[in-house]
Amino acid sequence: MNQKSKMNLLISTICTCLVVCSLYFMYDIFAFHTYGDVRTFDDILSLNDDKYQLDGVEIYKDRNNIKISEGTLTIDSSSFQQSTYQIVLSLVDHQNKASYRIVQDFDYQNNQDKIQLSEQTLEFELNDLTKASIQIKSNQDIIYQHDLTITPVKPLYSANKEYRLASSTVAPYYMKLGYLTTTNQNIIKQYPYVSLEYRYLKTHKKNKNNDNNYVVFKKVSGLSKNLVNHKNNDIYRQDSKDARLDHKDLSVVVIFSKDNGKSFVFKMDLSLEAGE
Amino acid sequence: MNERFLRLKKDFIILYLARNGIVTFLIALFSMAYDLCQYYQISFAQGIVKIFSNSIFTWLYFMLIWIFNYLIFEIYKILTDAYRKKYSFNFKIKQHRYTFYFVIVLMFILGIIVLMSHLVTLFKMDLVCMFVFMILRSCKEMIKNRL
Repeated sequence: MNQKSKMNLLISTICTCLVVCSLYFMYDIFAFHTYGDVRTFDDILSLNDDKYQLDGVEIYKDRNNIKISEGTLTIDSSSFQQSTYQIVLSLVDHQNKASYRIVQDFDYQNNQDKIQLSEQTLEFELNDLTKASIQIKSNQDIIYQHDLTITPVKPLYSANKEYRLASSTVAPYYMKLGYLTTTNQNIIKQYPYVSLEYRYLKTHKKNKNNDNNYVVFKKVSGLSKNLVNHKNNDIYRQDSKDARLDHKDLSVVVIFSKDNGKSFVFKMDLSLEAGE
Repeated sequence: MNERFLRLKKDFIILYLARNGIVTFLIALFSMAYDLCQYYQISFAQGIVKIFSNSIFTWLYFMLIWIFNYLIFEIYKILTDAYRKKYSFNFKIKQHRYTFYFVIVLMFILGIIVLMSHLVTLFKMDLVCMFVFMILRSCKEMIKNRL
């Protein structure tokens, strides 16, 4: 090997060592920002038909499972008697020519007008939801049936180097708040309390840097150990008379605090993920 | 016409000189897109888009992998150009005499070790592709230097 080759080899080896160190130490940050939630579809099912209403029930595919969030079904109590009824949700995937039924029983009490639907995890091969309907049955008699409105949900992206808001999605009048994740484990010990203030800019014309130009629509507070790096399925529903949430400039203010009043505050913009 | 041909030739020369950079870039792109499409269960094209649209940290890491690929290929080139004749044997096929470089066997073994290791999919795929590229280059050298 000649002198020039030796010099080239030495420089290349030093550079490789530097790059390998960078790859090693940056991997956690890369993985934190790259490998997020896996969802092939994510929709909101709703019903607004005279006396029957279904408040945004989220349905999404999480790897091989289909998950349905909890929800409230408002019913016309005059059509019911004290008995056991079945709620059947039919989900149709036209593309893959498949349909599935989710059945949930409930005992009707007199004058009850709201039915609580529980969260469910189902092992279905559903890849895309094209049609959904609801049926309320008593034995074999159909009391009520109607198609459900399917509204696709848009995933939100919000992160800085150490913090990321995971599992956050938005629909016109619905927002899944998500949860704060971090690579900095010490923050939980340093600041035992955390508060997340979800807000939107009053109008697009207002200055983004002025905090007075924002409306805080939801506040989540608690112990850092319970809220940071822990999955949270809390949702916020906006009145449909108000402006659409997905058209607003959304952001979140994170306030970490201690018993002595010292705090660490930062804000992150919530933007739609690329391609949405 | 002649001037246009010369300009085109010059462009091809630049592409030829940058061939190692281009191939190492494609290997980094392929490995990361494959890893992302496996993780997110999306198409390969969507995986490529995700490298650049996901987050600044994702594409910075992608650039680092590309530099890493380029550097290990440079080291491989310097070492094999210096020692390949020392560790080789000759054989004859029809009227041509070829020299088989043992570095091909070494790269093959390293590739199998990487495949069997507990490395994350991204690096496993990237290193295996790099070893395949190195083996292909050695094979090209074998054909180029035949007598």
